[in-house]
Amino acid sequence: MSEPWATIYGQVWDDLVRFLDRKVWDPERARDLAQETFVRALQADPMPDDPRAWLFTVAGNLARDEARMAIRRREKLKLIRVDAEDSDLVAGPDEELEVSERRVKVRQALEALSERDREALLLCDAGLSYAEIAAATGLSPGAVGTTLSRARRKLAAAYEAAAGDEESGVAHR
Amino acid sequence: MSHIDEGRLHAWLDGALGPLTGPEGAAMAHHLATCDECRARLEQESAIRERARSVLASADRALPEAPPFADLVAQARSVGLDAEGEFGPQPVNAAPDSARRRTGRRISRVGLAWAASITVVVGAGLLGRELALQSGRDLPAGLDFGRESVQAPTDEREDLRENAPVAREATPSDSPARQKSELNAVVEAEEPTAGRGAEAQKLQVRERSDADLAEVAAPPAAPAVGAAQEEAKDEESGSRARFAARPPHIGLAIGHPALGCWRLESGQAEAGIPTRLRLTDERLPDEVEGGLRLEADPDPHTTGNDAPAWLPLSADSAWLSIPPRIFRLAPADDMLTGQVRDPTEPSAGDPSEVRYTRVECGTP
Repeated sequence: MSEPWATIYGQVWDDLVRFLDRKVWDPERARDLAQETFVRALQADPMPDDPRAWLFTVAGNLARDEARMAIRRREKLKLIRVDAEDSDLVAGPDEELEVSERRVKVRQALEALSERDREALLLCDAGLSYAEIAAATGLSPGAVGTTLSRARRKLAAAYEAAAGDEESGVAHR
Repeated sequence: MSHIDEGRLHAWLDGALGPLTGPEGAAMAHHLATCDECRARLEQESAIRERARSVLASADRALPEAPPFADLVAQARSVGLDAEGEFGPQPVNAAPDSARRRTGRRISRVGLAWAASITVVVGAGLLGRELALQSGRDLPAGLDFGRESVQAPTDEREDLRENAPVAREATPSDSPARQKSELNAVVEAEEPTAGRGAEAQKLQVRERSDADLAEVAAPPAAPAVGAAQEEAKDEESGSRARFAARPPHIGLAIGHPALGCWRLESGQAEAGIPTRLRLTDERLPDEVEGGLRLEADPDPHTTGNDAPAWLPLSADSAWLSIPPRIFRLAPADDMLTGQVRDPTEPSAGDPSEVRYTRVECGTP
């Protein structure tokens, strides 16, 4: 039962954590959610037909639940932030700041997308095939390419806009 | 065929339209060969696609270490059986953040200690290596332990320690993943000796893995040679997997009417020697200077390749780890030559020549 999952685990773990990180924007939380996703997968009976699509769907749902709960438990957020700082000691403060700023921009750019476009884009970036993206999002297989082309265009434009704002901001300083 | 819409261009760039030999791929290639407008749009869409990819990648941070897979199995069982085990029942979604985080870390430590003990027992066995080969990605070093541990995910730990052959039987030896790893071994064999047996190839792979260890950071607390080899093998099978998954970045070259198939005519390429392929055609159009693409024939019966693979053929030459017997290329004409060299003596000896001739696509 767990053997097929073991193989899939080796293949998708990094992509899954990255996918979740782009939803919750916290690598440690992303890891925890990925772990939960696999625990659920191991309990799933029977094994889903399309395991990878299944995994990313469950992970996406967990991330959404997580975001809702986080709003209700603001006092926990402080804990998380302290922990996250601890885990990033390797990076110098400047470098860390730069990464954080970049992540904020990417996050804003992603939030400019519709949920469906964003989902398809993140799934594609995680290495899922068009068929798997279709299975995970409910898009028809023929619509995946169109959705992705729109999502990519919009992401690039939104990021460009954010970067432009920042540059003019720097110039004023 | 009317002009190609954006969606299909992206599907094409993502490699989702199937091989060039398929009906959709062939129609696309034909249209792109004859339609300047669509080729220009393909370039535009390709740039947008790259841009989106790099924007997303710029948000990447160092990923936390993956927990051993066996820990997840243990956790799944403890939750599923509602047992009063070490971790206790955990409604995964209802656990508060802080509790879940603590749990996750505790599992990691327990799992590492447990997995390390298993490594000692079976680390040098073939089984661990095969399992490692099945996962085609580079993973954090900590996950090596997880791979060791997946051998008997549902058995008791004692069973594994005392009865390794049981765990060995549990691995399907004829699975597609296994077959693929064997193919990897063939691809990686570099000794320029024709007619080796399978045993000899395996030995060579091991030797090479050992050598590679000098460059690959040793995994923490890896006591057995087998585990170290896995690390090196992971590196290689990982890069191969990424290579196979790489989308076919089709640029202008694909529209060139000289798109064609080539078959190995003479030379030592079949012995699996790394080969430098060089185009001798002088009439390459300027616009392909950035790179040519070579696609090994997707039919395993004619090439021995398990999947279509796109190789970047930058400028006019590229090193191939194994020269394909048949491949497609765009653009090219007349003749290709490959220079073979002995990888153990990189600066010595005259390269012998491997010769390809044009064949009709689909010729076995």
